[in-house]
Amino acid sequence: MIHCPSCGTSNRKGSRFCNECGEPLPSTGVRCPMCNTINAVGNVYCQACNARLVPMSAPPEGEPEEAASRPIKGVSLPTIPLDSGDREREKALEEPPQEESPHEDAPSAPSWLAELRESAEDIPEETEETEDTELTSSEPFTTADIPDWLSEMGPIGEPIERTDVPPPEPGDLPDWIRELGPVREQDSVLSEEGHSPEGAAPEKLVDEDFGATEPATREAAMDEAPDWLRDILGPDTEAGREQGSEDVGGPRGTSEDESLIEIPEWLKEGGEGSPPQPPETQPEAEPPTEGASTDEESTGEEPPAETPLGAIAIPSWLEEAQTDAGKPPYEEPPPPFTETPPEDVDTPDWLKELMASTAVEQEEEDVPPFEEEELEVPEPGIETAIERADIPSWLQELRPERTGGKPTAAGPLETEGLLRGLRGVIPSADAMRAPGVFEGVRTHEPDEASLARAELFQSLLGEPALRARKRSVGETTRTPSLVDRILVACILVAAVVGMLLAPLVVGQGPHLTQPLANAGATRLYDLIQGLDNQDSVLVAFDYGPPAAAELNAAARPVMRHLLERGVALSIVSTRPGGSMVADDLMADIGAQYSLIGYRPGAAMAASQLLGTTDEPPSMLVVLSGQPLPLLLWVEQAKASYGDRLPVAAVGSAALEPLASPYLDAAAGQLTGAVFGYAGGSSYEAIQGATGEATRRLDALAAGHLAIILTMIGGAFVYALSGRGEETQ
Amino acid sequence: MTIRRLTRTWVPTAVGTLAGLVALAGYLFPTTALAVYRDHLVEWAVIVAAFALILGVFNVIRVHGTRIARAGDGWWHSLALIITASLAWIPPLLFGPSHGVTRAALDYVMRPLGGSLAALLVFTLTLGAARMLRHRRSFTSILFLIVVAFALIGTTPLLGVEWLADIRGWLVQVPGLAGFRGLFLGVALGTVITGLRVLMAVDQPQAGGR
Repeated sequence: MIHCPSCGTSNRKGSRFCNECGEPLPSTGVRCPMCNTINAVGNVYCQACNARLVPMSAPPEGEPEEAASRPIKGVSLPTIPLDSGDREREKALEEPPQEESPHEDAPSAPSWLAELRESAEDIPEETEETEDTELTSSEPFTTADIPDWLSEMGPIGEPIERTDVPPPEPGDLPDWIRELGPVREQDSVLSEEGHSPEGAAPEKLVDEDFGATEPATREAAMDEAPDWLRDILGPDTEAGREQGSEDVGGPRGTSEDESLIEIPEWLKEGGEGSPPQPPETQPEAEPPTEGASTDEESTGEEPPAETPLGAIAIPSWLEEAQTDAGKPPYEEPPPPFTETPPEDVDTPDWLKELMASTAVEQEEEDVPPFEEEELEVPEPGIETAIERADIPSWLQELRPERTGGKPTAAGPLETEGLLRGLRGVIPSADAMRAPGVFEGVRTHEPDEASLARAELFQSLLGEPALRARKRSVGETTRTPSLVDRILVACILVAAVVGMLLAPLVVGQGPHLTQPLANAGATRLYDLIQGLDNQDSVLVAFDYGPPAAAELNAAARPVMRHLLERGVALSIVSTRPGGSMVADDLMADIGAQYSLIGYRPGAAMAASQLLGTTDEPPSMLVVLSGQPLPLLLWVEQAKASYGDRLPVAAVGSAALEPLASPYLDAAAGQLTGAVFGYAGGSSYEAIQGATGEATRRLDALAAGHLAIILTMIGGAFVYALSGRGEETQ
Repeated sequence: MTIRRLTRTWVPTAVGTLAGLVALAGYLFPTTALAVYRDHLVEWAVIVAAFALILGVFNVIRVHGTRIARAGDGWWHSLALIITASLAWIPPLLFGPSHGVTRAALDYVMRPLGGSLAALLVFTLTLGAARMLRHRRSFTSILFLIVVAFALIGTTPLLGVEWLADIRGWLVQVPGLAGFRGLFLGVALGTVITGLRVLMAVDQPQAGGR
């Protein structure tokens, strides 16, 4: 269970946020950035995908040498070529770990190694729950006190049995062994004689092995230790012993005094050869621990962890000493870990820094959850100081970014939904957070041609507007249309009115026209001339007031002639206004007549009117300005009486083309006809009088001439102007 | 067959067809009996036409009165129409067609207006003839102008150009009459076909306009 630091609510293991208040929970593991597997906090590599969990760090600038000798946590060293023996050893290390417990090797191990095993076994594995318990400095030694480099070394107490490892030849010794200082000579001797487990161990491991012993015991042990061991431990150890300070090595295995007093035989023999290793003490190969690999990488030297402490063959003197003692000489618990070791303790620099960093990490464990997002990103300079070959390119490409998806306390506060109350859970989109960058108007240098065109366009805009070459349709038709209308109207009015008023102004003068003899008028005149007072004439007034001006002038001489002949006139009309026109005309000439009036029904009215009596009238005179009334009367008259009823027509000039065929003698529909002013003037001329038709004929002729001149003038004007809108 | 269909379709169609056939037979076979039936039918038709005229007058009053009441577009035109129509109808109805008031309305209102419309027609035709070549420059346009000029001059016997009257006579009697009769023949054929369709009850204008 994970307790929320804010509200104290217990949350399930693995929870990242509190179920009650939503606050982020301390991390109980390290999430692999590659496979998201939760690993123990101390893991450097992912247990699932072997991806690196701990960020690489590099020594600060100015301390290259010190940094090189300092164990940098989580940094791999370049691969060192291995000899055949190393290759076999590597194979053995790659094998799965032995299932047998390390206690099986206890009988062959000295007491201090056994205690070391016990202490290592007492150290619980770093699990996710280890961080749940709050650590205090007053507590006895716990796992949290173990620095990472040490915890990553795995069970220290477990002996790592080595398989057939041939003794290294003097020439095969690595350089780092030769550079081990005072041990170097001893190592060389030992290496010549055979495999030396102590000599193969690095100096720091020696310190680690013996640093945890009690000072008194250690002093006694050092006094009785052989010279080679003293040399291995170094003068610092002796100095520290003199000062009586404690070693800060943490969980150390205890060494037995008696084992140190006795000098193994193989050491006594000096360079006679390597001591024979009992076959039962041949440790089996153990897979390398992460701490070992870390150490060997951090030193930058020949990996001493390839021969770890556990893999050192236990000498016979140690076995004998353990057998003689029967029990561990020192059973007191290891001293509690002190964060601030005394200054007088001979602690190597790398261990001091490591302790300092461990203390800082311990202080920070309670506050920020350690997650992969918060891994420290090494500085570029530091990163370059590390071998780039250790990080494959594909891993570099897959390296997660720190900026994406990181919930921050300064993020937006969720106000609704399941995430309400949380802040920075859902990061804002980049597009929203970062507005688009306005690049501004791109500057473009126009070429000379563009500049010239721009200047020309500007000059054109600056000039006054020219009159449009082609005006719109309304403009082209409006002004000439008005002029034409006025001109035509003036011409027509002047021509007609002038000729009408001329006799009144200047008196009777020469005429423009001369009445001509008309066959229709002549035949009508002859027909009327044959009537007498016993005859009845039916007159149909089928024209209205609009045509009265023309038709009255044409009908007036005819009606006078009928009146002169003393016939009985009956006036009928198939048009509503015909009766009024007839009454006006007959009143003008002073004739007596019988008004039948208006008869609706057109042809039916004409038929009904003509069919009322068996005897037809002596004559039918149709006065019409339109063709249809004339036609219906002719048809009904012929239908009712046939040729017994003579029909005469008095019509407008427009009716002449239609009615003229009826005047054909072969047809016989019309006995006589008078059309328009010309026919009226002809009739008047036949009568020997000058009537209204003759007077108006000059005005009509003047109007016709004006019309003809207007058409010709307009045709020439528009033909010469070339302004035709449509040409075929 | 429902009564509604019987009264609205079959009876009017039958009456129309029968009356038409009787009238036509009266003209084609002018016997006394057929002539009597024909004359009676024509008299009924004149009466119906008179009522139709009255109905037409009331329809005009209704349409324009509605427009005036609704103040629709051109409502003042409708008002002017009703006023002038009333002025034209009231004097003959009150005083008869020979009364001085009726004649005054005819002489000083209707005849000048009629003459003005005829003059306006002449003016419009003259203007159109003058603009003929402006809009259409073609041989037919020119030919049209020449024919119009000869017809006008020939209509009025101008001194010295009397011979133009013969040309005008030929133009009016031959090509003009040919075209006119062609139009009339078409109208006559259409009238005959329409009459036959009505007589055969194919078209039933008397039964609702179908």
